[in-house]
Amino acid sequence: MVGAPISRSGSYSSEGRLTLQGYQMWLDWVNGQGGIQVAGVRHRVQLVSQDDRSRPDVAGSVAGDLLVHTGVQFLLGPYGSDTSAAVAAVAERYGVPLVAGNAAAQSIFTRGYRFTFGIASLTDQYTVSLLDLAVQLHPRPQTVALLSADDRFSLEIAESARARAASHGLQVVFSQQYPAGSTDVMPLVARAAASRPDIVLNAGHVAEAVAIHRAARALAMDARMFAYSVGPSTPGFIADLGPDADYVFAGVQWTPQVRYQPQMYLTTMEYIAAYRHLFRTLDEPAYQVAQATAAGLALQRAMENAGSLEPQRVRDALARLDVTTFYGRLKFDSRGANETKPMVVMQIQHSRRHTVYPPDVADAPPAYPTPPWSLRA
Amino acid sequence: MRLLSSRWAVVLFFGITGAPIVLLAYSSITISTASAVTAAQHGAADSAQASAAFIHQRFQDVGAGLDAFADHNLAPAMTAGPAGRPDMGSLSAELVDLTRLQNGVSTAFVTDPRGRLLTVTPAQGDLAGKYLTGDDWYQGVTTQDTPFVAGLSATGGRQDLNAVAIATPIHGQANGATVRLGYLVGLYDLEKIQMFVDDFSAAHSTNLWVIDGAGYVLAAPGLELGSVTSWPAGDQLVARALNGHPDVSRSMRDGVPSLSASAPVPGFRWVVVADVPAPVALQGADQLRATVIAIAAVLGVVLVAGLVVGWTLVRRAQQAAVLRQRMEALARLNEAASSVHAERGPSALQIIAVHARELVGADFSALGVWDAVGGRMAPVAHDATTGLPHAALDDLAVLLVERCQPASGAHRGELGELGVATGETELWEVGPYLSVPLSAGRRVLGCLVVCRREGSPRFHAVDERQLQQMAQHATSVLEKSRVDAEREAFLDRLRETNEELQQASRLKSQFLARMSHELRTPLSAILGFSDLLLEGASGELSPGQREDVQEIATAGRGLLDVLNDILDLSRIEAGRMRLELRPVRLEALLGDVASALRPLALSKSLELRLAVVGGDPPVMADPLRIRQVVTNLVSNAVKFTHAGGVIVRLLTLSREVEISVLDTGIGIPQEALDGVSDEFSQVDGGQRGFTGTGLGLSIARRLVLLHQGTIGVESEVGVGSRFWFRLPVATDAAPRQLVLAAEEGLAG
Repeated sequence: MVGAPISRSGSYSSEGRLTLQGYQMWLDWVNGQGGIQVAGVRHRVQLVSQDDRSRPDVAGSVAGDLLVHTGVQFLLGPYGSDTSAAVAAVAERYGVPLVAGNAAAQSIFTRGYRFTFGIASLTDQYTVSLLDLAVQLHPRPQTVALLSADDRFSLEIAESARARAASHGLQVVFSQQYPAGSTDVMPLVARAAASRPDIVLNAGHVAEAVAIHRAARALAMDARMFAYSVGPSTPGFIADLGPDADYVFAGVQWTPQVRYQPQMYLTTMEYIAAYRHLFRTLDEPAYQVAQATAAGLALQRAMENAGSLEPQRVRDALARLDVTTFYGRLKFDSRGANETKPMVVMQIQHSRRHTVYPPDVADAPPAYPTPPWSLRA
Repeated sequence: MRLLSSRWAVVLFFGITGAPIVLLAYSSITISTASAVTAAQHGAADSAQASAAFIHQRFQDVGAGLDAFADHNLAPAMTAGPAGRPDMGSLSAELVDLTRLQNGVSTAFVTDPRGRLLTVTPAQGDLAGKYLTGDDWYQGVTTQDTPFVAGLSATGGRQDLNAVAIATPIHGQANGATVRLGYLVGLYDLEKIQMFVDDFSAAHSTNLWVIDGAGYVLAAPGLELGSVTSWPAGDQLVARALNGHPDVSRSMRDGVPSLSASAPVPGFRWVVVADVPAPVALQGADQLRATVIAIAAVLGVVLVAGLVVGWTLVRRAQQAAVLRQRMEALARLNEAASSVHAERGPSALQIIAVHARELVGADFSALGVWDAVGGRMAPVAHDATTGLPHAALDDLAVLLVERCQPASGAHRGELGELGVATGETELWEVGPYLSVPLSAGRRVLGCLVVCRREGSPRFHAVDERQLQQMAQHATSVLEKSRVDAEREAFLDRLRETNEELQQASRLKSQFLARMSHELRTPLSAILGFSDLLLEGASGELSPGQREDVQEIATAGRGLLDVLNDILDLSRIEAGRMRLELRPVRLEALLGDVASALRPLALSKSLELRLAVVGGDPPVMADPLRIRQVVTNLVSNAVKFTHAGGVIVRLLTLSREVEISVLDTGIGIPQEALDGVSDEFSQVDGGQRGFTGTGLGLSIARRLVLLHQGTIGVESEVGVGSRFWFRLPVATDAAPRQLVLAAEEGLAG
């Protein structure tokens, strides 16, 4: 029996729904196989989830409740770094392995937790691939305008972006924080435009990203690269921006275009088809779905490797885990973070998302530089 | 060999008759199946293309309708608003009209040229102002600028799995040029396509699938609308059709083998797949196949039956021939056997040689006997056909039988190097030969060899079996000869031994007679002088002396009795006992004996009496010897009786007279009765405390037998005994002398 706090209400409800879908993908498959084979015996998996209302305090108490009253033996994480952090503390207290699919904040993995393992690349990786790609493009960008929301997640990203830019010799010509959730960003963008940066890099969320991009168009702020930590991968981004969304870059955990050679479970193509069939949708699975599924797979393979359902032995097996799935390689470092999987870079081209970096998983070359607004329809 | 050729005959028969039938059936089935498959594939291809054409036409019509509607009804409204902007009210009204008029289109919307939604019917407020540039229809229609039919795809982030989007540009005039004012999109209900597919499938026994370019199944037999079903990725049938190439193939559809064809829907990235299930397609071929197989099976059965009947007849004829041959051989063997049994020894062996040669049709036969001393086979009989020189036959027999070794079994083969001259230049050479051993158990007694002249047919196993039967006859002849010879030798030895024994017996009797006589002479002197002494011829004896002399006299007389007994016995055994037979009435004789022995009986307080039953006819007897017999029996009775008495009974039977001596003595055990009359025999070897030589009863028995009488005894231990003998009643009165040696036993 596996427990998972899930955000069914509150600000993370849509991402929570995707997370639950990912767990259901895994459950559907593993129980279709007859269950997890542990020491020659197949165990069917039952997932018990409770609404955490997108609040860290609720997530923590839900996790405790699941462990104490429902008798779950293992935990899968909710969506969100802050809720996951609360669950991780509970898991640590009870000595129960937690595989967090959708938690990227570094702070979770710097507390010396032994029972928490994260599938996602951490915030310090979010812009690394973006900037790595940028410096390989021609003409090579020289300057960066760094915008950042003031939440912990965004600040961590901005900080790592600053460091990465420095290491690439990129000059940060503008750097500004703004309150998370701001949509009145016109003055901010105007000031950024004044610094005439080659790269506009925003560390924030979807709403800010749409607002900043609309402002850029309105102000005809031309840059060679518009890059957003979060936003372009969500469905509404294109619907909101239409053709204006073209050329936008983003760092993402996973795209449906990546093609790894899985050692277990499905290929990406099979995963997409299975997702569409299971949920009767034409959508491709979002990365939150893929990460949740990967979390389930990590837990499953650890149980198989441990040959036991004893928490400590499963925890040890997680620490030793090294397996490649449709999501990429799963191998946890000493903090419990999955550092081996790179972030991929996506770009919107003709209102369609394409993976453009790293080259081995890309399905299209990057479109660069972004043409000036004056030349766009 | 015969069996092998029969097998080949069967194979040949079936090869010649069966192969064309099988070939015909096989080719009929193959050709019919192939043509059925081809026909089905043509049918499937026609169905796919016709359906694709139908669907194309249908969407073409819808597209054309939308296109006309866009240009005529919507274009004015697109610029009827303030500052040449769209008049939303007019647009909405037009769209309502459209959904009412255009069959199958239940939802419609209009966007600006950049894909931004202007209005939608029925209204969906949250879509307002959204860009639909990511939609398939937008991507398609902006590329080709003519009506575009999308596949199953999301529209404006919404998924209507029951409809496909058909988009067309809205053209208008601006500054004298044709410009794109926006796009009209109608969502066409897939149920219409599904209905067509269901109707077609039912009418043509052909299943139709409609698949869009992304591999989604839009319509299929029994498809549940709203489901997301993907066509198997990488299916070449569909992949080729998407590239504009119709195709046919065989495939498995839901576990049923099918003949499939695909056809692209012209103008759209859609494909129609038509499936004819193989069982349906091959129905006619299956019927033909069943018929062909049935006919072939009937022909096959007829063939097999004919073969079985023919085969049976041939087998029966063969068996009859074999039986006849065996009967003939049996007759020959019987003839040979009876000839052999009528003869013995060498002539029998010669007959065997003749029959053996004739039986197997040989030119020469020889019968050899194993000479253990010489360590070789020696010929004892031979026989040859005419034409072989008589002088050479012995040599040939030697040569042939010497080849047989004692331990070897039957041999068949060719002998090239043996031959006999039949003329100065002509040589008769041995060719095929056959030898069988004559054996009794493990012993090899000899051999039987036959041969033919070189160049003649070889001998076969059947010849070997027949020769072995002749060999058995020869073996029995040899064995019989051997047994006869051994029996003769045994009898000779027996006769010799018998003579020796008789001689020894005579010598013994002579010795005894002579010795007894010699002993009696001095004994007479002893007895005589003892009597003289007792009579006082030499003076009166003192009581002590008289007692001593009396002892000498008594012992001497005892000794004399013994000597007389021995003398009698030896006389009898030597055949020199003389009987003076004459008619005698025994009552007086018996009375004398009883009187003589009564004192002895009285001395033991026993009664001794005579009983006469049924008269006293005369019997032919020597009275002296009968008295001796009776005296012996009575004195024995007195001797072995301690209480009671002894009765001497004379009983007259019809032709005999029986004299019995009955006592109440100790009796004789049953097991001792047989030996009671043996010489020197007493029951228990004389340990019962009775004196005597044991000769008396033996002499008595022999004397009775000399009288042609019978003698016997019945006894019971502790009760008493009855010794009896019978003498024939005298028939003629003439006395005669009889000297006989009796050898018969005492009757029990």
